[in-house]
Amino acid sequence: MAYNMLLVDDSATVRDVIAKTLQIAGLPIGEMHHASNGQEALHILQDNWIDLVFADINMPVMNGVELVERMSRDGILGTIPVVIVSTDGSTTRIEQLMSKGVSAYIRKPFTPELLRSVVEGVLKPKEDENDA
Amino acid sequence: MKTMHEKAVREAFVQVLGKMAFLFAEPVEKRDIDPFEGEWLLVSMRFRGELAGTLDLAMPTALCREVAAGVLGEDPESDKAQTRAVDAALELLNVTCGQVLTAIAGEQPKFDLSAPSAESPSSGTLHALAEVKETVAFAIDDYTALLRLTTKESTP
Repeated sequence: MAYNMLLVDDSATVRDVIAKTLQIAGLPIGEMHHASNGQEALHILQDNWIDLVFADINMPVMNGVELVERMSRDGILGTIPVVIVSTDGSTTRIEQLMSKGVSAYIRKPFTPELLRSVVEGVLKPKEDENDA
Repeated sequence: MKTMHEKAVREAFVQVLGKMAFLFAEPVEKRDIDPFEGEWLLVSMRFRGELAGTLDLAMPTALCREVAAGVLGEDPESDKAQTRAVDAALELLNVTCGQVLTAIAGEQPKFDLSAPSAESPSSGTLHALAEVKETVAFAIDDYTALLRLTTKESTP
């Protein structure tokens, strides 16, 4: 089964790197959607089936924290796992985000191996549910 | 005398550049820098929290293309490396800033980071940046980069 991904970062370079890393990692990727801020991401989420969201924190218009909060208030969007990919290394910030329902946190710069293991960890419970 | 902040800046930039773009940066003495020829890019961002200040990074645009190429796994002469050069430099600064702040302040404090901005600096701006004592110079392949951390307690 292929998973549809949404990459949310104001840096096109970062989105390209994540996309390429996911492909190289051999993960089953379906559609790859791109958004440069949280507001664009919400539009994409409303119109497309998305299995996993990667989001930066610091973005213009709507940042990653606001995006996570808006998703958590929606009954359906709140079930989509979100992986934060950020330069922010503050444990305080990480704890706050995890308490809002973020599935995982990857600090930049990241290795392909780390990205792969995080994605596998986040998606695996979903695979188990589907198999049940 | 080398300050602890300068040590954090040096180590963070070398590590980030290596991990992101697979480029090796070596801190060099500023007196060894060649004149600022060709086109350069200056990227800057601000931060606030337990510590407040700015981080500035100046690189030749050709080096920005090398960074983009390294980050994206492309040839430096490719269209993609050309079009992503500025964005790659902005992201390099962004990631370096995060690492520098963690090295200085630890992992507990939260910081607000501004969006990084880019400009084409004049040679006068580059010379002024090089002359400031907080600025660290790096040799990266055949290029030079300048990185300056300014905090509230230091003189800009």
